[in-house]
Amino acid sequence: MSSRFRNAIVLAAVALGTAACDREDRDFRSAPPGNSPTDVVRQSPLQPGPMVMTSHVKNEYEGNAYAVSQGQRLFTWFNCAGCHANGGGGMGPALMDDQWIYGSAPEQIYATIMEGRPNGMPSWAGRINDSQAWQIVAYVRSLSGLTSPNVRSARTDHMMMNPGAQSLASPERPVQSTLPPAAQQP
Amino acid sequence: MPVRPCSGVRRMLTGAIAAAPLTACRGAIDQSALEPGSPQAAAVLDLWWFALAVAAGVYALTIGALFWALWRARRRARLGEALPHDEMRKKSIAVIGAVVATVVILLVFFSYDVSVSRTLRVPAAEPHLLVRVTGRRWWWKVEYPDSNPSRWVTDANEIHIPTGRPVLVELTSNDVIHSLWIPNLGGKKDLIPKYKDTLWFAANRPGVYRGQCAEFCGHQHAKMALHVVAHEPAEFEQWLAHSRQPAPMPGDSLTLRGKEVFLSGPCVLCHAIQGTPAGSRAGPDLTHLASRRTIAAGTLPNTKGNLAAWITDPQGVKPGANMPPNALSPGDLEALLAYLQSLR
Amino acid sequence: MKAGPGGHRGEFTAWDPVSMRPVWKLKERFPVWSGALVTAGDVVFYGTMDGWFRAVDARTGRLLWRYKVGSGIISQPVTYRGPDGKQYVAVVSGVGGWSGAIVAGALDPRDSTGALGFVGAMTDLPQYTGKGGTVHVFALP
Repeated sequence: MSSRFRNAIVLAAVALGTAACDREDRDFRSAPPGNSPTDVVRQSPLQPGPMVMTSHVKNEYEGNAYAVSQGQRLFTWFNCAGCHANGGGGMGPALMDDQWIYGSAPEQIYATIMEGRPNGMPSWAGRINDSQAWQIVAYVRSLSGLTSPNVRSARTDHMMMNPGAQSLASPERPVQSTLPPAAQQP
Repeated sequence: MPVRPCSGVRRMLTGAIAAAPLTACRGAIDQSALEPGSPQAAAVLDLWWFALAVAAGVYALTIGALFWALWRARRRARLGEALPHDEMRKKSIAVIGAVVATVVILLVFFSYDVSVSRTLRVPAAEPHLLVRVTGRRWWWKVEYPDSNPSRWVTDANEIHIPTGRPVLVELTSNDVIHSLWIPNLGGKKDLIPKYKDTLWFAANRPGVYRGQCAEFCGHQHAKMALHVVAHEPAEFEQWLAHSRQPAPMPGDSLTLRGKEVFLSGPCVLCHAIQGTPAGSRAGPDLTHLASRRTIAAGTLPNTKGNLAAWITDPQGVKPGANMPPNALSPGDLEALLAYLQSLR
Repeated sequence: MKAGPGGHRGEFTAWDPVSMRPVWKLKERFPVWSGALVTAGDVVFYGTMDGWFRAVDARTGRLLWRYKVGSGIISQPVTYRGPDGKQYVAVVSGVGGWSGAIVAGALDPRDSTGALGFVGAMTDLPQYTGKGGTVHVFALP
């Protein structure tokens, strides 16, 4: 093998190897990703007239293991576990299953956290900043397996999500528990 | 002493280079193992000097023997061959001498170490002050436990102790392994999560001793310092009684507005102030913030400007710290600073 | 939370406060979260979390009558005399409470810390009962 060929192979291997390094990127002073949605966040795909598909906000923290782990820390610190336990629920609904009353898209979870919801979900706007909120969004989505397995934070084995259970959910059509399947738009 | 000019310059340079590091240590009470402030640190320092002396002596003897052997070899080469049996005897003397010297030195060190260990052993019977230190990333939670919960003091980043009384420090960690290192007072002990360990020392004289984290614990391991403040016993009792008091009520409208800013913003999610509804234990307790020497675990001196910088942009001061930036209007920030500075 | 020694998670006990000891005990699969109703004729009514409404003898604990309702019972049975002079016993069925939260809140059984730890103790409850909300009224003959 010629030296130039070998160098090319090594360079390609290094480039491929470092491609996943942004998994651990820590940018402490950047603005939070996925700017807070300014237009109305729909909690249900049911709309009068023809359905308008809105593109979902991409939460860049979702590919970042550090952000998901920070979300886990904030989940404990801000006592989300007080109502949601470790994802299983209690006073609040379970977060690790595939039933999402108000939607599982990142901006929908963000809206749920910041606005609050009936029957006890507090409104966190003004108490946590956007960056922290999006980190928590990334963590909550990881609880039910909606994020890549590479970035999930540490949890006991029997609570790790297996990919198959979330096969029905996609960012474009989150599973809604209040809307029966017959009423969902095709 | 007649010396050649070149060797004199060399001598001065060597002396200057050797002395330069020591100038930082001499006279400073701050964070130096060469300035013991407690019997524990003194015992460890004595052991260190002894070890240095013995090692230097052994080194000198070894190098001396080496040079002597080289000199003898040159002399023998000039004079001719030596008698073989003379050589054997000299060799066996050298070997026996080395073995005996090693055994003697080991025995001396072993007995010295045993006596030092006795000094460092936790005293069971003496009345002591109990302090509980919990390492967190990247600050120190300091508690003064009491069987009466209303007399329990929670503080951060400063340990206050009385002189002359043994202080028993219970060590544990909330997240990763840290290490408590206060060179003046002795000992370096790891704070391990889910594990309780103890360390003890007794300060000889009043003063402020700086310590820091000595086990790499993440981004801001370098900015995780703490201060141990040793008071005269009467002064310490005064300090402890004052620390048990809740935060003073705001005296003027600006301070009152500052308290409202504190309670209505993100601060309450992480910080506690005794005497207010704020009770979160995620971050340091701020009840007596204004009486601390530094903020952010020894990172910045505790002044109004530094506090403002820390509150608005903690990531600029200590990137990676768990405190988020807070955008406050100038009026709100002014009021909040007035309130925080009133928390003596 | 886990089941205690014996594996059953509930016991319905008649306690003698004078001699300070139990007189009889009935083991139940699930915690007995309902109240107890005792009538002057020495009949005790109680309900279980898997939906059985039982009447037992107050002195001996012998089962006299039972009825399967639509959902677990966590409420207090009551009795009253109706306008026609008959005695009626009423109970609300519909599982809930912290111990029934796994059914009532559709919680995830994988997280055993849910609902104060009850999810870990009651992972099999969904197999025995579903949600409900019915008032059952029984008339004595």
